[in-house]
Amino acid sequence: MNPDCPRIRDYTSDAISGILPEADERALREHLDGCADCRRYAETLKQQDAILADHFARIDADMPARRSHVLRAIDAVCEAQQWNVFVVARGILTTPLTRIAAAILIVVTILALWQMEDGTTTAYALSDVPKLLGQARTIHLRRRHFPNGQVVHLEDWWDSESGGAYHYWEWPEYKQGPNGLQSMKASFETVKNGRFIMEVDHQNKTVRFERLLPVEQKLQKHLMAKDVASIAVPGVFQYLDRYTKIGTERIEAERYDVWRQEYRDVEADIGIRFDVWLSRRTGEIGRTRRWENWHKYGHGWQLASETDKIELDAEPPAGLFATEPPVGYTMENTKDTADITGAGFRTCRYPEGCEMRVPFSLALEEGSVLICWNVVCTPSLAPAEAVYDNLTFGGPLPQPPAALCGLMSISGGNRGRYGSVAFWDENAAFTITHYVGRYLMQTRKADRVYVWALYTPQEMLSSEEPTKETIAVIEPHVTDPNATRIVTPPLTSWVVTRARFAEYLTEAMPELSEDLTLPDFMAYNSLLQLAGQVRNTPGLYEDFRARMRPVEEGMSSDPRPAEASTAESIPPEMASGQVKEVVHGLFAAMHEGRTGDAMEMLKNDRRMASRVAGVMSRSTRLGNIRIEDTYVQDNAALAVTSTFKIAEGQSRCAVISLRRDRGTWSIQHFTWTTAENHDQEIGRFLRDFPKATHFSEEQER
Amino acid sequence: MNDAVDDNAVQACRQGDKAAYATLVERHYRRVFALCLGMMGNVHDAEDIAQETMLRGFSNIRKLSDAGRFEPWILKIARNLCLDALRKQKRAKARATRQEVRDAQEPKENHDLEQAIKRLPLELRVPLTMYYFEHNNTESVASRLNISRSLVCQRIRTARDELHVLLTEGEHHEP
Repeated sequence: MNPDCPRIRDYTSDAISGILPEADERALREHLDGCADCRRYAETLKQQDAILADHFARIDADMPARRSHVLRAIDAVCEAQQWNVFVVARGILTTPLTRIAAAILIVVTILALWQMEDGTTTAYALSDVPKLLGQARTIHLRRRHFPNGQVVHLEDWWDSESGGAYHYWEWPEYKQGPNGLQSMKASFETVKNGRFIMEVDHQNKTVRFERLLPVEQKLQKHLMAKDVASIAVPGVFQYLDRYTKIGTERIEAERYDVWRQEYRDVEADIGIRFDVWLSRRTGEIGRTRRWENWHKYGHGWQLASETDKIELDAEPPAGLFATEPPVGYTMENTKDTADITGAGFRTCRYPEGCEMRVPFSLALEEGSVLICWNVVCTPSLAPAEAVYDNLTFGGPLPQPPAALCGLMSISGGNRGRYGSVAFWDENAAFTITHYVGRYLMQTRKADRVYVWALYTPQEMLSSEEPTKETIAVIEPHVTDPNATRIVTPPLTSWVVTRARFAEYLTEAMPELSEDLTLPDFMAYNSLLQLAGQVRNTPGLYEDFRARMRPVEEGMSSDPRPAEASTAESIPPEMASGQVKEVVHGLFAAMHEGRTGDAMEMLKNDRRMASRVAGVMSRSTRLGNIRIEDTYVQDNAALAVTSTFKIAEGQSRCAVISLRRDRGTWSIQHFTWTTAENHDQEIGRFLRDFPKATHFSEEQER
Repeated sequence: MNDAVDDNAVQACRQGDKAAYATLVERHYRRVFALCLGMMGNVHDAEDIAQETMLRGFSNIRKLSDAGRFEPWILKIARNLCLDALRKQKRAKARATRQEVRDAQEPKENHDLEQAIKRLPLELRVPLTMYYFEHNNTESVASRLNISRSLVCQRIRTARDELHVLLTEGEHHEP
């Protein structure tokens, strides 16, 4: 330790507190560059700070309950005082005069109350929630999620008048440190002021802007209440009858009916229980709680997330919706260079290195959807110009690295709009409608190419709602074998009449095209005509359905009900050895051309099994794959392979999760990822299995 | 503006408006709890004393001379109650047998976080706890504790350093 170190350690603490002057920051950095002891100290202090923040946040999470307890205690004091008052009052009613005066007072009071009373009592039900939220000027939501016992905070504000929205959320992340994989909390903010969207990443200290076209701004305002209702009361639009009242509870001064919905998420194979506290008197939501039962891992019901009382018409903090970036953050772009995005479609970042946006979409009254989409890729993936050549009106769509090749809509089922995973209610029977996409035109603005396409359902589907919900089908066209699967993000489009169609299109054109004139074939009637032609070409729908079959099978599959494993755990070293044998067996099957064996071993990951054929063609590269790390806890395991080359300039490693049931290990999930990203996969596993024993090839040498 | 809200609530409370005191609880309980947690070092005692503090505040609201200064007043009540409780605990410990005292003072092998925080001296534990409850705002902590900001920063530095020593003495388990 040199004489500067104590001072530097003070600087480290001040830097963590965010109060270190800039000049001292430089001194800190320079010292840390050359002093390993202080670097270690700084790293430990940062971890300690995160742990402390977490520790106090957990304590803080119970604050509403504590306050409620205090208020009850005060109630009890008041009741005792009133009893004393009553005792005193009894003494007053001793003379005839005072008794008459008291009787007159009582009669007058009753009459006054009778006049005030309107004779009706309002009892709010869950079905009133969407309307109440829709009428609110502002909505404020505070939530907590509990990934593996950690607490992460989320906060949301919406302002229907200004179209402003604010979202704050945290998420645990994992990074390799000197002492192995370490957890940390990343935090993000998204601020919308109606026109611009500012995304702030506090961990990486970056800021990025996007902006909305006028019709999308209108859509964003409209969606506010619906989005909150979906978060607050899942199934509030479709499955209200599945809620049953399980009791009543007082929170602070209000009494709430507690309603519960319980179902099995077929895709994830977990039990879901959702509780809502609803005030019959005011219609407000006092609390919600979501519980998950990962029974296949032997866990019981665990609290997954919780929402505090949803505040309506509260005043947002001043400046909350301002889109001024924090000082000192790296600006990925500016408002002037911001990409145009859509309110009804979250930017899709798949495959890796690509971003798909839908800056503009309109649903026609007969059911078709006009979409303008564009794809921005990293230079190595940028499509050749030829991708956008030789395209004709009504013809096939282009195939850049990511293409919006079609739409689907689902009736029945219960797909959450904001869920990161679509969840499927085991009790829901649903039907899928396919929309075939045909090319209309392309426009260019700055360096962006915008593809305009019409997506038509086989039957006419008129909508009485102002918006139409569909699911976009994004198909990748890259050489990466990890990117052969189709992804299906949700899309919401504004439904327009014939009269409004031209108005919105004309309004959007200056932003999406250097050429401001609208071609004749983009008229409403022309699009209807094209839709009719597409409907009369059944082959187009057969082709699309065939491509979607593996995706839809994954959606509707009902995996064998997983029972909590009753097998005894085996020593971790033995488990690790067995896991390695299974994984080596898989790669041997691939390497030796035994496709059937490989697909059988991957049967629990249907999507991956279908990719085996593509992987087999590269089998010469599989012979040297090693298993570098295994993580084992009870009957769950994760194996991570060495990296290997899959194509020119592309290296991957495999991360494979396994489960042991009745003495046999089977592969649950298989993914290819880069060496930089495999920490996230490992982190996900460790969130569920924090006591996993780690075996590494390095240690075993 | 905050003082005006408190002012109105206190005035209403003096007129017998119980709901007005509920407003004061909403606004100040968390801070009272944070101070109690810092002084007592554990959640259980902090809850008891924070509740007692709010009840005392309710019962004695008429004694508050400046209605707009509810917060410093209620925090002072909390501090005094904590000091009373700590004195009682100290006397109780002094009366314990030599063996019990030895057991209580024996450093635990498992330096978990709560124990480490509890082992910090009072003058370090309080600003550290309030720092996290005040969302890392040292100005706010200084104002609540009625000390200078630079002193708050110094105490947080020292607290972190001492925690570092306590937590790296043995195995460290994350909460």
